[in-house]
Amino acid sequence: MNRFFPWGFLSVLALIFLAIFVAYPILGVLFRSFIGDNGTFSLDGFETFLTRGKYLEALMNTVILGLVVTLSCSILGVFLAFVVARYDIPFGNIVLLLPLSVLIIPELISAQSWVMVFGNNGLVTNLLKALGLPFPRFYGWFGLIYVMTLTYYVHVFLAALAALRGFDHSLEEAGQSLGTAPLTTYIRVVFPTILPAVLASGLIVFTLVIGNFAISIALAQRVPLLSVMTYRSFISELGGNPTMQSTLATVSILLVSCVLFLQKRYLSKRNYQMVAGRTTPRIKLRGWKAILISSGAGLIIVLSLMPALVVLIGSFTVSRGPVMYWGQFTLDHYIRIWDFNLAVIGNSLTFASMATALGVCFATLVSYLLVKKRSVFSPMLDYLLLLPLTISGTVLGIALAQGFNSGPIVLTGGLLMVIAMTVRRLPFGVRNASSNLHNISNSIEEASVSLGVPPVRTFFNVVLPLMAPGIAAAAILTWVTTVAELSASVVIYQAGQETLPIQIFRLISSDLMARASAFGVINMIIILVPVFFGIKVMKVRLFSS
Amino acid sequence: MKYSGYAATYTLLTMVLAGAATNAAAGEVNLYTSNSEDAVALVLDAVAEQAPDIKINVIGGGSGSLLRRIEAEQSAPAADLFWSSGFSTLAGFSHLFTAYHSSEVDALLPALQADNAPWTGTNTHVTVIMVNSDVLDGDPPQTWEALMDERWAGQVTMADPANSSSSYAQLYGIYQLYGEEGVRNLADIVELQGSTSGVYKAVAQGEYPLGMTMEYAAQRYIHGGQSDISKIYPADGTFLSPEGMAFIQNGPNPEEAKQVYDLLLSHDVQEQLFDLTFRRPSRADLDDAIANSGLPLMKDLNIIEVDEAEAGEQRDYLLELWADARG
Repeated sequence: MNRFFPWGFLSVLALIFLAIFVAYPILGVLFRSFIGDNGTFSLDGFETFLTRGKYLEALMNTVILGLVVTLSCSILGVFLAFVVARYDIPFGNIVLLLPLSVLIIPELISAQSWVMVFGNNGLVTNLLKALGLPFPRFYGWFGLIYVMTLTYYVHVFLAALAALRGFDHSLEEAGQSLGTAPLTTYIRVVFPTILPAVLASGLIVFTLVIGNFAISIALAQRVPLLSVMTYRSFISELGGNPTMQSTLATVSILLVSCVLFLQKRYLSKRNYQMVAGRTTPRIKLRGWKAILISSGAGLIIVLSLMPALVVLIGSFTVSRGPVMYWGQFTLDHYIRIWDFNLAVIGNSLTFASMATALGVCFATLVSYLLVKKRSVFSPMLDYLLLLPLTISGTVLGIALAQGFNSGPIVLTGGLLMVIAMTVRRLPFGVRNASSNLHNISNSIEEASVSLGVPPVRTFFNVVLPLMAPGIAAAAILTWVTTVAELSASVVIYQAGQETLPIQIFRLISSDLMARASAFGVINMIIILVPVFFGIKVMKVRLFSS
Repeated sequence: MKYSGYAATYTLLTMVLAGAATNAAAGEVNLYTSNSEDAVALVLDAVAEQAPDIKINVIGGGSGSLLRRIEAEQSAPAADLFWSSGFSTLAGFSHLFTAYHSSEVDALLPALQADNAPWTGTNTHVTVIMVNSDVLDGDPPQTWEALMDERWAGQVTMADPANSSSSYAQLYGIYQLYGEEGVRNLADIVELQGSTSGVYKAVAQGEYPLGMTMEYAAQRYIHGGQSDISKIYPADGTFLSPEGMAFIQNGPNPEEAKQVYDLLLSHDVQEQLFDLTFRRPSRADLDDAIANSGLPLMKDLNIIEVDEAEAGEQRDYLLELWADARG
């Protein structure tokens, strides 16, 4: 049997794919940031970045915003996870559905909904004004931190919940039986063990925050932020400066790389292996404690679901141009979509399903290669798979658009959209697909091969069925995130290729909230249908890891 | 029975083949447009009525995205017409267009005929001060000069002139009226939005009481019934920011495209488009429609003439001055 074929060969293919669509465009961005107007080596881009006031200010703001939101998300997420894992509260089961609700609401729409509640003309603002109470200005830092926290804390919540559930209760009992007070036990024993999970999810939150431009554009036009500047440098109607685009993108890549590096370094010193033990029993609370804790958790849930409600009502609300007539209902916005915009829905479905199919096939193959068939190419694959984590959607979009609009490979439009969506979610897809691969014993596969079944058929007949649950989870999560993808596609798409999030973005930009809401509802339905199908019919366990 | 079945199949087949053969030839126009769907629907209706043998294929999108697509398709153009974008934006893509002298051009306002350029004015923006009385303290300023008083510092917003062509037109207008000092005064009092739409949204939502924006944008809220919004045409003069459409070089269907081009400039279509969007038409003979809508007539506005070529040449100098004044 040839040792290279088929697995070594497939590893090389995967490597080539990643080299072309991940390494090449990203290196191109780094490279171009050192090229000046006349095509020679120059540090002009970085000189401008360091000397013109607003760029450095934007970098500072971005770092501060990233840290503050990561911190607030960690507090909120760990608190909620702790409540759900430890206490028997009335909404326990609803809380488990939270992640879905927050993941499916387009973040732009949620920002806009919160403006309707807390903006200068907002419902709550006017209510408080009528009562004579001042309300802090929602635009700017306050709004940014508030909306981003409520949008991203779910990532921490999920990670912390999984870690808390995996925690062996006997460790805590041991601590307490040795005379340590319950609170001290929490701090000294429980928290350190869930910290790696919280940090890993915190990193995701951090990258999402510094890469986000949709919420920032809606809420804080006056706070200079790197992500918004990067986006604008590319989309400017007066033609951008390519050196500056690349410089801004390079700075944001460096920023995330630094944080990734620090996090890895910290985690490498702390590795806890939890021997599966007893799960902590859930305590039934009574009295004021019950009220306090349940209402705290209840508030977070209500706030998380609020934008979805505003969107749903908004999509049926009468509007004249940008002005909404709350309380008067109509189907006009849906009828309009039916008359004019079915193509947009078609685009979303096409791109997302192609990206999901491509992403899942790739993730399945690569996770198998990485876990079961390690070769000399594996470390390289590992590293290339990390790269998409270091770049925001906008930067990836710019990298792909710049990398493939000229040069040896020219790609535009639809194909590039699919590739952008695929590449963005690849690291997560591989992680999901490999989640239960470690538990599949090699001997099953070896038995099949030794009975004369060729390796590829063994893979399809024996390994693949065992991997199925992980693959299904990867497919659903890839679907959810690609249907909602905005930041990469919005810099790549060409006329006629608008997806639902792009259309929502454009409508919100012209302040047509009611119509944007109708698209938002359709977007949520498109995301939810396969998820429900997966959970109810195929019994896929999402969010288990 | 059997025979008629064959006949039907045969007829169907010939029809399909004929359709495929003439697909690109007769009766189609590929329209790339940045206009809203309701505006496009209106045009489709007008074409269906007045030129029933023309079928329009619409590709909609942002004007930057569409123009870049036309540029990408330059070797084999798919588009026939582009409708519409600001003159200064079109200028950056003029190598993609061919001039077409429509018979309707003579009916347009002189400033919008664009005689020397390969495009034709379809409508024009007029700069106004948009006011949100709900968050305004005192009486609103009636002139640019009054607006630039330090009393309004931090309460006025405009789009970043470096990013937006209509905002640059505003800056250039202030420069023409009040020179470098005017530019500095403006820089001292305004806060910038990243995009044009950020301005009217911020004022409508009450984030700022005053904004420098386009007439139609403010009018959408007034017409929509948001009673705290009003607009002011500054007494010391206001600025136009014209928009135009263009005929694509070597487009596949030039003859049909010319018909649609004429139709887009026709009296009826321009009137209906104005009623729908409040964008001032380029035609000079629509005063009745404008008066009916409640907007002032063009002749009653104090318009500062702008030499587009000069505005373009001064751009670098002025933006540098602006950046300097903003600190």
